[in-house]
Amino acid sequence: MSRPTRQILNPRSALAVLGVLCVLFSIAPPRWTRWQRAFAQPARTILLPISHPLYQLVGGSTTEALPRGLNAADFRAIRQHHDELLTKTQQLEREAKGLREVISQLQRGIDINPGLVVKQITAPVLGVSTDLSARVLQVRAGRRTGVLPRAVVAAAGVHLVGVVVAVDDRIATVQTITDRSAPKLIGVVMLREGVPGPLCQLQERKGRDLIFTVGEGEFIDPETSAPIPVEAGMLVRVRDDAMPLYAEGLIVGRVTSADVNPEVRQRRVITVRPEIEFGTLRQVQIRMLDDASPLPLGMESAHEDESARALATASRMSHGAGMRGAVP
Amino acid sequence: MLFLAWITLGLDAGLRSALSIGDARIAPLFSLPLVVFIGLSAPALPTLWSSFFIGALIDLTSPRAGLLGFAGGEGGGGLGMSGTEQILLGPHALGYVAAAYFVLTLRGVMMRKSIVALVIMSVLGAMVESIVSTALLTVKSLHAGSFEFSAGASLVQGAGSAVYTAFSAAVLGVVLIPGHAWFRFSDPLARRYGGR
Repeated sequence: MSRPTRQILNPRSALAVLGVLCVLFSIAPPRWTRWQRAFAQPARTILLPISHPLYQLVGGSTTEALPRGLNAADFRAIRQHHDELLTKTQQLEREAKGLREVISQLQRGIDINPGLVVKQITAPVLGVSTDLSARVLQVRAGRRTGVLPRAVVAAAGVHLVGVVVAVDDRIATVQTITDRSAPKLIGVVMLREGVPGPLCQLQERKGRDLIFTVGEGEFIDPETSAPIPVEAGMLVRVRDDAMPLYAEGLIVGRVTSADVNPEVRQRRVITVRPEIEFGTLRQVQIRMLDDASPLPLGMESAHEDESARALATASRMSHGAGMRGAVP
Repeated sequence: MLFLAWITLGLDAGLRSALSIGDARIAPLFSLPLVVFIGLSAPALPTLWSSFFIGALIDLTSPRAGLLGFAGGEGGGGLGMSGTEQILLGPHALGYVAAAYFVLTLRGVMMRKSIVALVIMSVLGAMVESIVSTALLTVKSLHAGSFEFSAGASLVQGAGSAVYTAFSAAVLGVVLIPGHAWFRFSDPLARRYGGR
């Protein structure tokens, strides 16, 4: 090698060149640096043998407060059973509503395909992003197990964790709902169990807390005829047309505080905290459509044109429809 | 040293979440004290290269989800589209190089085989790393379709994590400093003054 070439390709100049390239990668648009994803899987493969056992060793499952006189295991079991039953009730109610629509379509002479079948895979969590500012999980389930981007991820079967945003053969990357880049989720505040209240839209995220704006209007209790205000302790469940149908009814979290919105006085702002600490989850359930079962008519459109559904929900939010008057 | 780097990166990926404090997710760094230890003992160029590789591995194992997450991926909408995971090589790689350079600059006035020096330099180095990586991530997040990023929150997290890193540096110092001779670092000061 000639002397000038050796002078250029020395370790010091190579490091300087790499430094300049890293700065350029940082200022380049995301589409120009997409190829870097190819290096992520080998890097994970190098680190997983040490990071995964450590994560599983120290990881917990929930960080919820424990009532006095009850041990943690019993409390968790009771709470989980309770939540599962309520979620099933919610889903059955939605299914019944869907079936009523199907019946009305049948009456109009339209052929209907068999019902929506959701496949659920339980997958261990491999770890979180090394940089904790990104609230992203990596789970051991990939294309080989049938996971696709946009599959919904839940914990303990009923708590919404997030959505799969990228999948390789064996590992899926999950964007949690507390990640700053996650979209503005729409939920419904449950005034009591089985009594859906106002819709609420996610406005911002503060650490683990999700700040929602609640729609206008007052909800009247059909039993007592007294208005039911949104208050701390109420559950918030997913009711978002932009999310896949199988995310419907999953628990977003519990209201920890409710205040008047300083910008729009008729609306309230609630702080919702997920009941699961996503950073210490050991396993999650990935929910997605079973490919073997075709979608019924009417539900197909939900997947093909979800932006339209999102617009419809946003419209409901802005006009307060479905939020005024008595509880159904 | 490669084995140690693997162990400390594994500790970062596996333990940081469990050791994090509060909503700001303040957590200690384990790989940075190792970089500081190398910086206090080894010649400049190997220090900078090892810090670059450690930082690059952190970048490659820190996926970020893009802004279009729930709405259907980079290509539009619908199931089966490619996801919006973003891997960004650079912020931590350059942050670690900056931290290593900072240590190299100051090591002349430090007692190199002291745990106190390792702890102090780790805290300061982690702050430097946080500032550099936050700056680069902020620039990246300005692009449309990129991830959402709060520089303020990241700096608060970085400063808190830097202080918390004192704990991990002290633990690593107890292991690394007595075993200093095993690593057979070529002594930069000995070379400068014409032999040992």
